[in-house]
Order: sequence, then C-alpha cells, then structure tokens
Amino acid sequence: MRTYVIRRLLLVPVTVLLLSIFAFGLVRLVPGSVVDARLSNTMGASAGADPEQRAALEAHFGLDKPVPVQYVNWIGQVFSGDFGDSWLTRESIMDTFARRMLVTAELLFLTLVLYIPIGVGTGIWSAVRRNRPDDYGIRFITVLFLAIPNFWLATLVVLIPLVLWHYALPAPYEQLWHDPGTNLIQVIVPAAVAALSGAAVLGRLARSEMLEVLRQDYVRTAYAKGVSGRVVILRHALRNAMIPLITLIGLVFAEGVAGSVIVEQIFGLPGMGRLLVQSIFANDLPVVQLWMLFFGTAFVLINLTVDLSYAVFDPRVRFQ
Amino acid sequence: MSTASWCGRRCAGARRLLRQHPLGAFGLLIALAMIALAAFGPLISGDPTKLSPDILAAPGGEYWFGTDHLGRDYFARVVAGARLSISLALTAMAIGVGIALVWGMASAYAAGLFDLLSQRVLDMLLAFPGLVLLLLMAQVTGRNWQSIALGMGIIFTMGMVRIVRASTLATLGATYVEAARVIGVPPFRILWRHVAPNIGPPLLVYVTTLLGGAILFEGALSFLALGVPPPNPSWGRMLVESRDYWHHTHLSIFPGVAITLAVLGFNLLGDSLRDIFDPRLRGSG
Repeated sequence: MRTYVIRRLLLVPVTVLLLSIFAFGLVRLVPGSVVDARLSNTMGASAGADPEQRAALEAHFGLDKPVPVQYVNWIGQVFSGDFGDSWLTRESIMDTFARRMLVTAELLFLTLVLYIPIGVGTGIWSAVRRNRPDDYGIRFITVLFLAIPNFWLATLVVLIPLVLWHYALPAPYEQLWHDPGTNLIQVIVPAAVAALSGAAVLGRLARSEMLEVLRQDYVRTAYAKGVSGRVVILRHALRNAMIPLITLIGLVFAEGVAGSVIVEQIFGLPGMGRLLVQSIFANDLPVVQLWMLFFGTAFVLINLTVDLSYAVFDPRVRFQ
Repeated sequence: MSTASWCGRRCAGARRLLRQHPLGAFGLLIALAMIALAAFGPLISGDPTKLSPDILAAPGGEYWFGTDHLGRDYFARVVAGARLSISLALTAMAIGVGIALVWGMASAYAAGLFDLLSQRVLDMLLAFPGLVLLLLMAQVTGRNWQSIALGMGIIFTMGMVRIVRASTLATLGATYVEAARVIGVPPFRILWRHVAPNIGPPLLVYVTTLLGGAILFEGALSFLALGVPPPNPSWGRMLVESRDYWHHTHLSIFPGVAITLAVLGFNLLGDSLRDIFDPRLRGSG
C-alpha cells in the first residue's frame, strides 16, 4: 500500500510538468498574436506595419525571447504566485479567476447535487428491476438523453417557456449575495440541463456496475440462505457496487466542467467556461494557458484522490 | 441460384440480428440512412445557400422544413448539415484509427521508455474533457473542414491508442504468437497477421460509439462559433441562429432532431456491437 501511494504521489509532479509544457506549447501554436490585434485595434491598420512599435509591443509581452525562455519565465512566475495579467482586459488573471470561479463553483455544485443522485439512482433502480417495464423505461430515457446534445436541450429550455408563456429567465446575471433568489433561478436551470445530459452517462455505468455485482456468488449465496431481496440489494449488492462508482468521480467532474463551458455560454453566466471561450476568441494566451494548467491540475489531483480512496476501499487494488 | 445462396446466408444473418438485437438493427438502419442522406441527399434537396424571397416560411408545401431568415430552404440546410457532420465524423475516425494503430502497436511492441512516456502523455490528455481540448485544437488548426477533422481525429485517437495497446499486449503474450516468433516470423508480419485481427472487434465497438460523440462535438463546436464557417450549413450553427428567431419554432426543432437521431443511431449500433463482440457482457444487456 505504501509503495503504491508513494508511486502515485511521485507521478503527480511529472504529470503537472507535462501539463504545463502542453498548455504552454498548444497556446503558442495558435496562429496570429496579440501584437497584431493590439496594433490593428488601437492604431488603425496603417500603424501595423511600423516595425519599431511592433518590436516595442513584442518586448512588452516578452514575445521577443526564444520560446523555451518564455516558458521558463512563465513557470517561474506561476510558482512565485504571480499569474500575470490578461492581454485583453489587462486585469490580473488571479482576480479574474477568483471572480469567475465563484460562478462556476456554484454551477458545478448545483450540477453535481442533481447529477449524482439522478445518475446513480436511476442506474441502480434499472439494474435491480432488470428487464421489467421500469428498466426498459429508464433505459429508453437514458439512451435518448445520451443522444440529445446539451446545447439543444439548453436551447429548448430557453425557447419553450418563451413561446408558451412568454417567460424568459431573468437577465443580466445577479451575484449570489446581491440577489440570492434571482441568482438561484439563473443558475439552477443551467445546472439542471448540464445534470440531465451528464446523468445519462453516469446512469448507464452505474447500471452495469450494479449488474456485475448482482451476478457475484455472494449475492446468490445471500439469496440462497433466505435473506430478503431488500436486504440483499441494500446491504450486500449496493455497498459493493458503490466502490467501482468512486472511480467515476473524476469523469463526473470532467463532464461537469465540459457541460459548464456550453451552458455558461447559452445562459450568459460569467464563469470559467465562458472565460475560456472568450479568451480563445480573443487570443488571450496567458488566460488560456493558465486555465488549462488550473483545470488540468485539478483533474490530476481529483484522479489521484480517486485512485487512493479506491485502494482504501478495495483491498484487491493494494496488493497488485 | 447464386443469388439465392448469397441471400440465404446473409438474410439469415440479418434475421438473427433483427431478432437478437432489434435496437442494434434499428440503430444500423438510422446510421445507414444518415450516411445515405449525407452522401446522396444534397442531390435531391437542392442548394442550401440559395436565397429566396420566402423568408421564415412555415414547414410544408414547397419547403418541407420551411425556410430560414434569409429564405434558404431549411430541408436543404438540414441535409447539408448531415453531410458536414457525418463526413467530419467519419474522416476524424479514419485519422484517429490510423494514428492509434501505429502509436498503440508501437507502444506495446517497443515497450520501455517510449511506452512509459506515451502512457503518461495519454493519462494527462485523457483527464481533460474532450470538448475543451477540441476548442483549443480548433483554434490552433484553424476553422476549416480539414483542420477540424484533423483536430477531432487527434482528440479521438487517445482513447483508441489505449485499446490498441491493450489488445496488442494481450495478443503478444499468447502462445501462438510466441510460436510464430520461434519459427522466425518477422515482427511486421506478426503485427499484421496475428495482432491486427484481434484489435479489430474492440476498436470497431469503440469507434462506433465515438461516431455519435464526434457528431455531438461538431455540433458543440459550431454552436460556439468555432466550427466550419458560414455559409456552410451546420446543425450547431443553425441552432444558434434559431435563437434570434425563436417564435419560428421550426428553426430550432429540425436541426436538434437531426443531431439526436444521428447520435441515437450510432449509439444503439455501438451498444449492440459491444454485446456481440464482448462475450463477458453477453446476456447482461
């Protein structure tokens, strides 16, 4: 167990290092640069040709140095706690992230609160009632929600009340401590959309995990010795099915973030997902690469926690 | 007579598929219909970019699906959207499978440091939501058809490399491969004759399910205005544009139904292929 934990912990810095190189490298590959944008924006098209101004701007953004030097400078700054400024808004990225993370955190929290019980609940229900009408019903709805794109679902959720009752969600976005009622309506609807799309994935996986457990010998033994169906399912099967479901937490989180990119855009929530799309459009490289590093590290740490807790709950993993 | 025997075998297979996997047969039907629509639909549906004075016409009559805000035939646009979506998805899969076969087999066969490093890189990339990676890739490679196909291919190859590597490792350990090595069969022949056939089924299952994912990704990408640029019709962008004309509900219904149907078809087909090729799961469906 100890060597397993140590090995997993040692891999974290390696993965994060790879991640930072990847984020930095990918962002450098984006064609066009902030210098072009600045020159054509602030000084008109004619000034774009002035080599002196171009050189001055490139020096200002540190783009005149070789790429490896730029990388080392960036990593050094990140480690010393200086995340730099956005090229677009010239605001400190730390401040932007702090403000936007609040929105996304609320959205993600509400999404997961709806997502996990719906997904796990329907999955287990469907496995226990296998090949009965309710199982078929759940599976039909699951397959349907797997195919309905979340951006169409979100569009319909906006359109249907508008067409039928001329009702639109309140806009613009209100902060939670400003106007909690309005804020809750504004966030819970996108959260429900993201949760419904994600729950279908989770529900299917939960169902197959539960079916796998229900096939085990100890379940048959429990039935054979006369334990009631309720007790077998709740005490023997469900507890064991929950263990593999832990491994899905990483997936759940990643799905939640991907969903937030879409729903924040559609419902106009000023969160991290929307920030990514806006920054990609504006070629705001410092924001994009920090976004990748931030969420990439979060994914790596969550996967680490998942693997370690899995080893705690399932002794078979420890002795591999 | 030859026709009869041809049908005899094949029709029996089709009947068995229909009996044992009715949903899979249904999925196959939708998938084939979508591919046919993408391939031949534009021939009958006409020009999706032709403007007409009939702006925002309701469905029915001359325009089956109505017209959009520029008076373009919505049916022609939905069909052209199918062509874009399906061709992108299929091309991305072909690229992904090509890269995965080389990378996965090389990784398993070479082992050592290369294998270790490529596993770490895959771990890191697979931790990211595919959509986020695709957004970045689309910005790097540009917003034309070829670049997006390449970007999606690279994103989708990562999961495939895992499958190819695992199947290759499993096959390389088998006794018959050992025997082939002992009698001096060259490595490439081993990979081609013994390993590749074993990779086929699991990869086919995975790719079929991914096709649905690819269609969803293309939709999301165009929805975020990072897809193939106008005037090429794309289901995702048609949905975005429909929001400005929300009181004309047909604009937001047809593209959404089209995406859902296409994804549903490939998903149902993929599920049944998994049941057929993965004996461990047989009977658990």
